[in-house]
Amino acid sequence: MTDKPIDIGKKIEEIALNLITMEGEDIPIIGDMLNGLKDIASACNGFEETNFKDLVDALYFYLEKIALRETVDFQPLETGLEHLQRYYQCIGNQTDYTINLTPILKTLGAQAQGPPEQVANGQEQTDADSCQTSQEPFSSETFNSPDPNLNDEDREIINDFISESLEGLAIVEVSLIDLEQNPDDKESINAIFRCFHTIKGVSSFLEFMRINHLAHEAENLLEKIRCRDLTINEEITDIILDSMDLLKRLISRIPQAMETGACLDIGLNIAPLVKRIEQIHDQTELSQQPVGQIMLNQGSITKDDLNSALEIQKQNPQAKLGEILIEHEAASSKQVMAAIRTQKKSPARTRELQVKVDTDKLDTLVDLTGELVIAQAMLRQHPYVQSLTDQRLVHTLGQLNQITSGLQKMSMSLRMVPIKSAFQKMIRLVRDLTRHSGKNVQLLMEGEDTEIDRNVVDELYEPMVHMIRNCVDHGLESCEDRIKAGKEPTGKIGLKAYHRGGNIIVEISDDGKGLDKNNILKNAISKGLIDQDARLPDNEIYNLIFQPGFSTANQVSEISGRGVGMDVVKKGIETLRGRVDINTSPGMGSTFVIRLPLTLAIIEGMLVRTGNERYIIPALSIIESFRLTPEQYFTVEGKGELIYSRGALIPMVRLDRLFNLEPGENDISDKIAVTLEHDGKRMCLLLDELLGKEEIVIKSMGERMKDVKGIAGGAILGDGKVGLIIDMAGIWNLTMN
Amino acid sequence: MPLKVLTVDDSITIRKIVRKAFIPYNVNIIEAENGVEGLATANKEKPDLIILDITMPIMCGIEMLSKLKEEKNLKDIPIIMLTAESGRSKVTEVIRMGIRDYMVKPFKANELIARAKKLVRLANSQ
Repeated sequence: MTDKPIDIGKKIEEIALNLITMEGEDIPIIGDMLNGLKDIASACNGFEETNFKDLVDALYFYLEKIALRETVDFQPLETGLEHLQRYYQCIGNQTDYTINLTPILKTLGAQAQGPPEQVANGQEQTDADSCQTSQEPFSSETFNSPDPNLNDEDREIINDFISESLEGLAIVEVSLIDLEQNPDDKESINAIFRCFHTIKGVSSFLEFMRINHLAHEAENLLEKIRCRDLTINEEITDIILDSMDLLKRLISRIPQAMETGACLDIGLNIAPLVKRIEQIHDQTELSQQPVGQIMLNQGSITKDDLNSALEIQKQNPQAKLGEILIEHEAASSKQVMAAIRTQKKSPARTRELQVKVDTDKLDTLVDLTGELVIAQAMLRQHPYVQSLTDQRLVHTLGQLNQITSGLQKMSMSLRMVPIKSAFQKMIRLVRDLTRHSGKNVQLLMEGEDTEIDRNVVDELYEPMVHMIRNCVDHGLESCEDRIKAGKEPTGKIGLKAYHRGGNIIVEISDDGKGLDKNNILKNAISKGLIDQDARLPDNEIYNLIFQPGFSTANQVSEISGRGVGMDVVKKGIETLRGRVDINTSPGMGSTFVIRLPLTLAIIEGMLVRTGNERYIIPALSIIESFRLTPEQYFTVEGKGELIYSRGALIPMVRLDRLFNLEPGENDISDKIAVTLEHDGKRMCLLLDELLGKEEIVIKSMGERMKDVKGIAGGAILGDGKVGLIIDMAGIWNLTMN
Repeated sequence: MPLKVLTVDDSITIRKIVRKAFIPYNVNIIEAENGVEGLATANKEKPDLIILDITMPIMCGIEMLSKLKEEKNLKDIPIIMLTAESGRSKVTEVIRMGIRDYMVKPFKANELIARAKKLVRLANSQ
């Protein structure tokens, strides 16, 4: 708004003068006129004469149409301006302007709502070829395409288009992944939009109309997302991905067609995808309130008016409800326009309300909830509470119990996200690897919707990349080798996720040649990882690949040979309190099985006692536990105590001696043996009692005690005392020394 | 001295199409990929005509246009805006900001030349 009130009369005169002196289309003058009308509109905002404002709006609307080259008929504008001038004089003279404005508003406005007409633009386009935008419906599956007889220049431009588009589509893929993780990321939406926009624009120049049509549809969809009329969801992501894929295929086949001089319209069917996009549009449009309803709400028509108008519309489905209402004088055009404006202003947002929360806060919430659960358990186990006789108090405590466990479940679920995002990043990786390695690889995914702790998903990314690289690089054979071995030429890599007993399992498998036992042994000996005459069971041999400094690749490849090996993978997974195993069979392929706790905050632990101390052993590491019999107990010189179980001798470690505690039960037969596995090696831990399996909320030991060997953390137990969580890697190191 | 025409568009294909259209004329074509580059080039080269796309990364055509209009010695350079159909609502916006002409993609080479001829001649006579 300007500080000084503008002279409306003068402005109107200026506009009228501009209109008379304008010859043909003159964009700068149209711009001036539009600005003038906008100024008038804002100057008369406080006017009582709403008809005047409506007329100004309608004139602006019509002038816009001229600017957009939708019409070349200046007559309605001239008539409207005359009305405006006289109207303004009446306001100045404080007399009423008695002429009915409805017809002129209708001429100015009604056309504005009709479908845009394609009017050739008089003078301007006599020397410039009238540019025909493709308005014909794409009902049949034939599209215009460039003439296959191309000159060199055309070829060059088409080649540019191809590389530019493919580059753009690659960006779409990355941005889409970003967008999925962060649906409000404007920059990602814009980047995706721009890509489709460019492809649409350029393909229309080059007359690749099939590509143009698809890109155009996808762009429209993205425009809605940009304007927040639509929220990105799985369905939409899929559609964008599919559009991207189809465009990629359409575009990447052009060079071949150019070579052979065939028709450049690549005959892939885009209709099903276009239909899916249209369905999404329909869904959003349906959610708009009908004009009739809005007018009813605004009190501009009665229910009877609406019903009779709807009745007429039934007989003549082409007619618009607003038009019918005006024709039958149930409402003024002004009211209809107001209703349409309201309708456009408030598209029903299907957006779910969301609040962004700092993950730190979320972690604290999870932590506090954990404590609440513990405090609640302490309360329940308190002797005083257990001897309660007051029924009401017992009932209230039961309620508290339910609420706490509900709260805990909810707070845990806040951190859970589908593993999909990590999986989807692998699609690109595999594609890149395929290109570099020259092998044909197909990626099969299963269980993408399996939920996993947010922090775990992020941490899982790098180990997965390493393992998939290894699968492609070392696991899968080349096409020729595969054919020789009687396999399909295309190698398969499987990614699978599922829940099993409080853990999430991620399997990465390939159907390649499997791990070569002898090769691993040879390598390990030459690297000095094991002794020349070491005799190791198979699984320990396979686990050697997780040793630092181990690499079986005969030559460093572009893909895997980056100086980091599987030891990094193992370390990464162990920091997540998980474990990784290998199943492999020669000629059939290998499977890496990653077991991870569902969340980082809680583990499933076995509470054990030795002497007066209680410890927690992560349940993942426990193979079995049993009461020891003297027949199972051996001592071997140089190797210490051993336990014979399931056909193997396992080194035995006494928990009380390990941690220098008061010795517990002395009699072996009163002891419990727990077989643990770590790194494919087993150990029997000797202790006094198994107290039971529990969900344990992990607490860090704090700065000062974080370096205590063999202890991974602490937990507050049901009775309020602290139990220490045993660190598997740690006790192995302790016993080795 | 040949006329200088600046094309600002993120698509190399569009830039080439513009370049190709001007081949028969004594015109020196300079190019930029986005608004930031476009502004810098316009400042340095003082082109006689700018052909400006709307949708671009880093700085879009509308922002570049408003920056051009703020600069004393750039604001009178005639501008032909390039728009796509989906940019209809933006057309009014840029017209009100004072562009000299606009074209909807796809356009034919002779349309571009016809519009450019009109503007560049006008600019010279002023």
